[in-house]
Amino acid sequence: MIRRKLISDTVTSLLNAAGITHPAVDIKRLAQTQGAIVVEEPHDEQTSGFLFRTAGSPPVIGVNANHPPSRKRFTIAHELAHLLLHIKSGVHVDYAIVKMRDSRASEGTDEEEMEANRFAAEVLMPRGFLEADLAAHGPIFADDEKAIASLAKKYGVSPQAMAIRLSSLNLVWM
Amino acid sequence: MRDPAQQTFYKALGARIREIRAGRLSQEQLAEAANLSRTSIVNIESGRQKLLVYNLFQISKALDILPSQLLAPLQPSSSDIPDIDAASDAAAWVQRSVKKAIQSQSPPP
Repeated sequence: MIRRKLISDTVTSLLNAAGITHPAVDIKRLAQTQGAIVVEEPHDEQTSGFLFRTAGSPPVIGVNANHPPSRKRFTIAHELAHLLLHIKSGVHVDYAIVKMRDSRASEGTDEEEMEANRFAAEVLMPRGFLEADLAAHGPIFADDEKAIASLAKKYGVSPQAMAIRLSSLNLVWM
Repeated sequence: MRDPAQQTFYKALGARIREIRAGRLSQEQLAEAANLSRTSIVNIESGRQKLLVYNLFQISKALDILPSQLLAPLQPSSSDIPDIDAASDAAAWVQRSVKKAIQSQSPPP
């Protein structure tokens, strides 16, 4: 079970505490408010990021420096979710290609990844922000790539991520 | 150490350290390189002594391996790492990044 309420409550209180009311959400600063050090380091394409946590020192969120800015922002948000919701200690590495059918991946792990992705979508594209933007802009159609791309740019996310978020919130016209 | 989970963890960690050390260094040599007493090394290898992350890093440095190599088999979360090559590759990347993060935190000399 994905803990939807916990995720949306966590996102709301984070944004409120940081006084963030408009896109693009400064996700790096948000991670820093939670005590994390965010560091970029190049690595191969299929590795997105990691969270490293040990007692007595600040958690480290690592991001693949080779990825485009929108990907890096998503990775930071995803790792921040692991920090706040999941990982108590140790290293957790996230790969771009998650083998969901890998028998070694426990259900718990898949669920954590799903929760982290949901958190990332909510924190980078908060419902309230999108509703305000769409109220100002007028309705957007699901096939209006230009409008979705410009909204994606404003939020610092990929057009694909924006399209998915809008349709999951029922904010686009099909 | 009454907690059985902790006992298991430190036994596994100690066995791993011993396995990697044996054939490379004596217990005395490791003790000296890691700035610990030989008694500590004996106790750590048998799982009777807890150790600080700092000591773990010192020990891995002395053994010329990554701290993550000592921990990898002990961490449940490492089970979702897709394959061995990617895992060791990623471990080096994690280590570089963490080093960078620590450096970014320490005040300039």
